[in-house]
Amino acid sequence: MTDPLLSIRGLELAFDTFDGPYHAIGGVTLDLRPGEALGLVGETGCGKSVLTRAAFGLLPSPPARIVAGSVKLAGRELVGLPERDLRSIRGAEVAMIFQDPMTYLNPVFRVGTQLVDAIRAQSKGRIRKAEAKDIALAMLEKVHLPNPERQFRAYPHELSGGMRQRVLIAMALAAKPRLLIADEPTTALDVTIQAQILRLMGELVEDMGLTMIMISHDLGVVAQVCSRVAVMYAGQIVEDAPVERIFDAPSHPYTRGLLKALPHPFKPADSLASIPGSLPDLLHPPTGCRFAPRCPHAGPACVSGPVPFADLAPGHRAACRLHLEGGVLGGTGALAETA
Amino acid sequence: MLELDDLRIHFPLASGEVVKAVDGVTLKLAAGETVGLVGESGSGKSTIGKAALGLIPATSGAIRAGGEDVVGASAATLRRLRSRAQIIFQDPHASLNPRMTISRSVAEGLILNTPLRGRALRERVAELLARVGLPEQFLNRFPHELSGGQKQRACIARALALDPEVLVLDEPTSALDVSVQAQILTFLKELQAARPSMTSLFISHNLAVVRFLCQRVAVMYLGRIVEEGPVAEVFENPRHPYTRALLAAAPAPEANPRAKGPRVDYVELTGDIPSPVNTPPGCAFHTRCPVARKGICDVDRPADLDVGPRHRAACHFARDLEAA
Repeated sequence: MTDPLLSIRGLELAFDTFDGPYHAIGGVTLDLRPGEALGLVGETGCGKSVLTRAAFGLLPSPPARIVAGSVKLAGRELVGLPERDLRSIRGAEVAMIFQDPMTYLNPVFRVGTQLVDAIRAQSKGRIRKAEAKDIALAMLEKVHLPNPERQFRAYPHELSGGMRQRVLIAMALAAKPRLLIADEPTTALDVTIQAQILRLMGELVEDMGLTMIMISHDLGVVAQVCSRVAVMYAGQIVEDAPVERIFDAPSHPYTRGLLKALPHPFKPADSLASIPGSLPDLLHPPTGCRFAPRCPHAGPACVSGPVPFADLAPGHRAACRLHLEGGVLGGTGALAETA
Repeated sequence: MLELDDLRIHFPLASGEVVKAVDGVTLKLAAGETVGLVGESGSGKSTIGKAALGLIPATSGAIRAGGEDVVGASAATLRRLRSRAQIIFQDPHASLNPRMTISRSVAEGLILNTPLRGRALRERVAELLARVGLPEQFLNRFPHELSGGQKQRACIARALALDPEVLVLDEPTSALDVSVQAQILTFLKELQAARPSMTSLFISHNLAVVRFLCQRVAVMYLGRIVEEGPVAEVFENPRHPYTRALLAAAPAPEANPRAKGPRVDYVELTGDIPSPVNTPPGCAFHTRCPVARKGICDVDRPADLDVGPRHRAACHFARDLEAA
């Protein structure tokens, strides 16, 4: 097994508020190997965006504060690294793209100017302007932007949403980063355009060997591109598995709840299961399993203390007591009955 | 119950150009039906929803809602219509007055249209809110004290207060998380059973949600309906190339379809949606269509072809496209 490219160990992050610390991330451990495409999935407020931003020092402190844990990129510890060093990692080694491509392009500069600037900045000025332009055009070609020479001279408002997202992907990948973080990259796009961008991202993962974390609230979107899915709830990873197993053998009650709440375009259903209750208040997170207050299977053991992960299959772990006590108090079988 | 007849809604621009948001739409909803209106941004689906209640003036054509002619209606007629036709919007936060308590927002329509006052009014409001799953403690709260799902429930309670015959739902769950969406969809499904005569127009870009809730579906592209029919029929046997592309692009919650090889029916569209200012001539879809033919599709606007029972598609080749 290859060494992980990204290794997060016991990461805890809090936002200091007037009401006390808000425990946005509560102990996340995650390894990402080179070439893996991981989907980070969860509902609003589960911490999926905060986690990736915290890992690369993108959250202003205060109020954000890393309480514990470590984040290593290719063996190098990032927690506690000075901003100067983090800056040189971001862009060159870790690139990010976001939901709303318009917000991340400067409306008063031509697309080409911004690409060239970004490429030169990523290289710390080693690449000259003319060379940067060649790289930019090659990248625009690679992301299948129609008519790259013309779009190079266009202003962002002259491009459609899908084209802007292609430009940002080109910009992000120009420096050949080790890791791409795509935070809801298609959420603002129409479904036929979303399909095009997802196709492109899948291509980049397969052909360029890109390592990627794709953050999304949509399990269907993640399934198009990612080989592995981690489900987050209330600042913790509750399940982490190869994509097939997330859909075919979901093992955490929250993952199961999510899947049963999703309507399917090609499988008519008479009813949807909803998850009762709402997210816990992370100013005062529950001591045990954070999902326990809403869980149909919760028992006294669930609230008594933190729940470790149970290994269910190669690369498949779930943080649920039902599996830990498997064989004794039911385990996978007990949960399977309720599916 | 809700009828649109050759409806056109055009917005003139300062430049002298015209945005053809809705360009000749005919759609009839029978009493008790829930019809889904799907399409991408700029297809005109929300414009239709607003026009159905007289919130946007129509350029030409006719709209009948709850027994009233909406196009060119007087203020008095529109006022009468409001008690029979209601709308629920995507963003519940923007549709509730931040300075009114939830019970006051729900009571507004009742105060304007019924003689209910005092205790009887309060009881009626409490009953409405209880039915959407908001217990009594929410009555005197303000919108900012509620979650998105709770606010959307309040909006639904308000829309149902006057027992409307027509309900327009414009992306009511798009701003909500899936677990909350499931709660709202389940409630709306129960509502269909509880109010069998209420007619609903359900506007959404989410095909899975439409499949769950609607009996019929109309697919829009650039201001026109390209295909319309019973939900199961349209989803399983789509006859318009755009509908096929839309269905193929719908991200189904299933393990990686790419790993299992490309889907046979996968028709990925190239290019972007053209601007509704310069709608392409002929079939508006021909610029992106995988089966378009020169000299036909870029010249003649396709008529609606019957392709099955109550199933029509506006494509020159709708009958030639092999059944899926």
